[in-house]
Amino acid sequence: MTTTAPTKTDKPKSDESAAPDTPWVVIVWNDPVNLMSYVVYVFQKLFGFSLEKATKLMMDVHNLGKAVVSSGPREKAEADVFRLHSYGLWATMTKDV
Amino acid sequence: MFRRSRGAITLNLSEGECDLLRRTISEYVDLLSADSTDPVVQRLYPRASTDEKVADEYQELIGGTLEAEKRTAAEKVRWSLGESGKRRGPVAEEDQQAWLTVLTDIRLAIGARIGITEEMMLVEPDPEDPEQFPLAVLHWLAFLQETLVRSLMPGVRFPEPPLRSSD
Repeated sequence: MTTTAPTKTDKPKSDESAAPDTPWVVIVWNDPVNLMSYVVYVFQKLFGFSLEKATKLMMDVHNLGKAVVSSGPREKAEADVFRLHSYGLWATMTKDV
Repeated sequence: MFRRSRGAITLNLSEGECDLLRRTISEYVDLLSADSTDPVVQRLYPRASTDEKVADEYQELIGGTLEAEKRTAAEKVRWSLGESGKRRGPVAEEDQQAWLTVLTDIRLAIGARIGITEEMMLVEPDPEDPEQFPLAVLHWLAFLQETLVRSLMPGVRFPEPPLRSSD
């Protein structure tokens, strides 16, 4: 990712962690084009994450090359991948083994 | 650039900037139904899984939905930009997300075409060098998109000013 990331939260929204013990995960991969601020915006918009959580996930993608952003039944993973692809993020789904 | 003022988001662009965008969007729309062996097209329609079977089943499920969505967004942006001349004034709320995704896709397409790396995004391109022109466009589009993202995230403090300004 490129350029700047936000640093401060205004009003943290509800932060629902993905349910455990579910078989599919959605992964977002690093790419050199998408802006850090944009990735944070998309994570918040699509998943309702707080600014802190969205920023942490974005930094994981940036520094580690990827991050799991959601998990659940296959249908949910498919829908999340679709929404992420709509926003130009490089996302894949995989069975969480 | 995009600006937020009194709750509305405005976009002001010179005629030259608008013409560059019109051309780029038109090339982008042509790409949407292009041959999927092109790496640029592949980046616009990523495989949904490293598991080929899962990716194929996903592709079957979504069919042409993603392409249709991209075309709708491109049309909204074309409409919002206008057919000719400069652009001044507010951006309708329903067009803001279209701007966001189209700017992203155009940048992804240019990036894939020139084999962009994170290092290349840190180098200031020479706009006079024709070979560096796509990179210069990519930088300008990054700046433009950054102004939109910031306008959409009021109340969030960013550590640096947007990358650079064309004004």
